[in-house]
Amino acid sequence: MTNSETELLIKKYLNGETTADEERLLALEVFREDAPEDWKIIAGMLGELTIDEALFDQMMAERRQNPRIIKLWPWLAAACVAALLVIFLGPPRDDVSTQPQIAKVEPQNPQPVLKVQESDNVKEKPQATVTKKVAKALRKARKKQVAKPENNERALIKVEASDIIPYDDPYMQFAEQVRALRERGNRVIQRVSMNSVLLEKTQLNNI
Amino acid sequence: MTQEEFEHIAPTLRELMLSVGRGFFGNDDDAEDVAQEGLVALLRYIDWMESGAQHDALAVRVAKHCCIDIVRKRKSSLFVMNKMNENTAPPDWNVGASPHEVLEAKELHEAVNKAVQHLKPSERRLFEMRQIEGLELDDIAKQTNIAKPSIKSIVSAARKKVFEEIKKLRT
Repeated sequence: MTNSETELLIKKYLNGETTADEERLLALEVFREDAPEDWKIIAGMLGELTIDEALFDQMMAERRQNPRIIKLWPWLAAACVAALLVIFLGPPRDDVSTQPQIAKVEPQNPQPVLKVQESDNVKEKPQATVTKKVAKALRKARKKQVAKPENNERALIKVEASDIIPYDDPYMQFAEQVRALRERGNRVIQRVSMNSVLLEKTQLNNI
Repeated sequence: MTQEEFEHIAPTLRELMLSVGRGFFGNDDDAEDVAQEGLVALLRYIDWMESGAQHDALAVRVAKHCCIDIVRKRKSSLFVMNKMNENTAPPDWNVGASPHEVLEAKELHEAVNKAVQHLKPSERRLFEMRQIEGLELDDIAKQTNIAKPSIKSIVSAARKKVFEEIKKLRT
């Protein structure tokens, strides 16, 4: 409100023409510390009840303008804190990226087993020696795999004469061959899954 | 109004002031303070209050004044208040004001009181009905059975007299 408007309202007040709302508005204007002397007299005439009622109504109106924002702030802050607590204090999840996903592959073509079975005429050896030989053969195959990464899976399954393990008991022989094959298969599947290379089903069958 | 009559209407006025306090502060403790202080302030108006009349408007105004007064006291901020009635505004209520401001407010309050006492009884009554109770013209007309144009002219004459007298006193 400008000074001239306030002066006009003061004239209206002295003429007894102001409403109660206008008098409250006038009270806020003349109540200022830097008000002229005449305005201070008007403030005195309006009285403390009018001035305080005007201040009360003004404060309530200001609160009504943005009540939701004021009330929502604490809740928003609490929600943010709760979310941070859940993120940082929650139980750690298993790291999926470090664990290779191994698909179960059923060997449909047991040809390698038959290949190994051809070496029946080898002399008998103790069980520990057989296991060592199998491990040695596996290491050899792995070395070949590391030395020639460009070779495909066919190179890994190539059976040499030194790889043939003699068995007296056909059951033990079969079991060992199955175990060796399973290890190789798992290794290949791991490598394939780590490199994210999808192998054709036929390739797996060949392995 | 007698003390007994006041005690009869006090519970109703107290509830009214409690609701004003609750609406402003949002809690029952402060609302109780408002109602308590409001009743004490209303007691000071007992001679001015008419028997059988509605005093809800006055109770609400007094409650609002008490709310602002409590806030003012808590903040202890500088407020130069113009005191119309020493009974409703004790000298120590303006917490935080400088001695000069307190003295100035007291002088103005005394000047207004003196000027109002020099008014005719009818002028004084209508002047205070607007000033203390904050009644609109229609409400004053209903209570006093005086025509609105007459009320306007009486109030206008009273205000101009008070204004000129205070001006003389302060120059």
